[in-house]
Amino acid sequence: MMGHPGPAELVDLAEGGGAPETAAHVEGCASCRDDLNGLTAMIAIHETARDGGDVPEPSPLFWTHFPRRVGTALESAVRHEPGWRASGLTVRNAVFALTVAITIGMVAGVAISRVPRDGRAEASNLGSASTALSTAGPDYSEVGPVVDPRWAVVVQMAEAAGWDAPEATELFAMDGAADRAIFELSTDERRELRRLLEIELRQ
Amino acid sequence: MLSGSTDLVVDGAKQFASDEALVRGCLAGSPGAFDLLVQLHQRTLYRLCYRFVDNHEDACDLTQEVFLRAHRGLARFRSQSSLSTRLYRICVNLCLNRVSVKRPATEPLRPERQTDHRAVDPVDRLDRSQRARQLRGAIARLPPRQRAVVVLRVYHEMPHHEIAAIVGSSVGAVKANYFHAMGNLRRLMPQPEVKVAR
Repeated sequence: MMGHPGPAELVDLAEGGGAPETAAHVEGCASCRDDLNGLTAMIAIHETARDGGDVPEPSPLFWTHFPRRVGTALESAVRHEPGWRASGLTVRNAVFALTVAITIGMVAGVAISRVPRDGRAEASNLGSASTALSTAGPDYSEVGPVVDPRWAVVVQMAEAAGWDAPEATELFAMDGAADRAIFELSTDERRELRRLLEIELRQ
Repeated sequence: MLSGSTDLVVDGAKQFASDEALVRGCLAGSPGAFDLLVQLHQRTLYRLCYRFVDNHEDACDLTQEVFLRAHRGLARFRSQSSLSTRLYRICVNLCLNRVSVKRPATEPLRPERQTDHRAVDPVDRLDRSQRARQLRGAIARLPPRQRAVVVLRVYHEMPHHEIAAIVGSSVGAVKANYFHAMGNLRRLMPQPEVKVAR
């Protein structure tokens, strides 16, 4: 003997379908018969409500104007869309473009990072040289006023700074500021910085 | 053939003989193509929306939104599913989202009375419009998926497999949802009082 039919089989029976063996089971099973009767009664109630018009019908004029209303909303939506969307750029294309941009950015970043790395290496050489000097005792006689006019702004700011309260001068460097500064330099500026560092190292 | 038709669109239907042709027309910017699409489906989608939100203004806004979203997705339309199924899918998703964020303003149902359900025929005992109103109130209290299945099956007379395509589940799951929805509605619907004959 078959077990109780599942919901899907009862729905099939209530809608006039279903397997004969399911129908035979329901015929002889009070519990399943109650389920089926309840289901059939509810379907009948719904059909009556549907025939009675459960949704009020708007006026015919409303339907005449509705496509125009949608058209206006569509034009407005297109006008207010972000530029990338209005230009027909799909999400897939946007993701592709973003990936390409990130890749180019990474390649450029790697290429640029070689410049500060070399600079830091040179600076560390300079550091070890100055350590060697410091063991022998500092010799300030070599240090003279900066004569290079390109450093004039720095000299001017340093002279004007109140060194007792460096925060107030806004001249102290934030973490990573040097790296950021390197990245913000143009190619010519980086070349110039490299040249100056090499001159300093040679001295 | 174009899914659905009205007197207003006879000329358009001659020009666009199928859903695919209509979509191509819309994408190509053919004059009147998108208007035709709206005219073909506006009433059905409005009724579907109304059955979820139970008021004209919201149903109107939702129907409009369905067409806006459909327009955005026209380029991805594939003829494997009919245009109406696609529109229904957008519509059901929008309606479910709407009702999940905004509780429907439904009248409180009368408390269930102790009655012998088998002894009365509710269809005969209650006025149709009152019954329809009570039904809408009860349907609004169903879980979203059951609600969608009931509305599509009973009021839009859709076959189970089409409902499955719209709500994104199997035919068996749709039938099970339908069965449980009907059971819930039976509990939620106020039962008519039984007058005991002396």
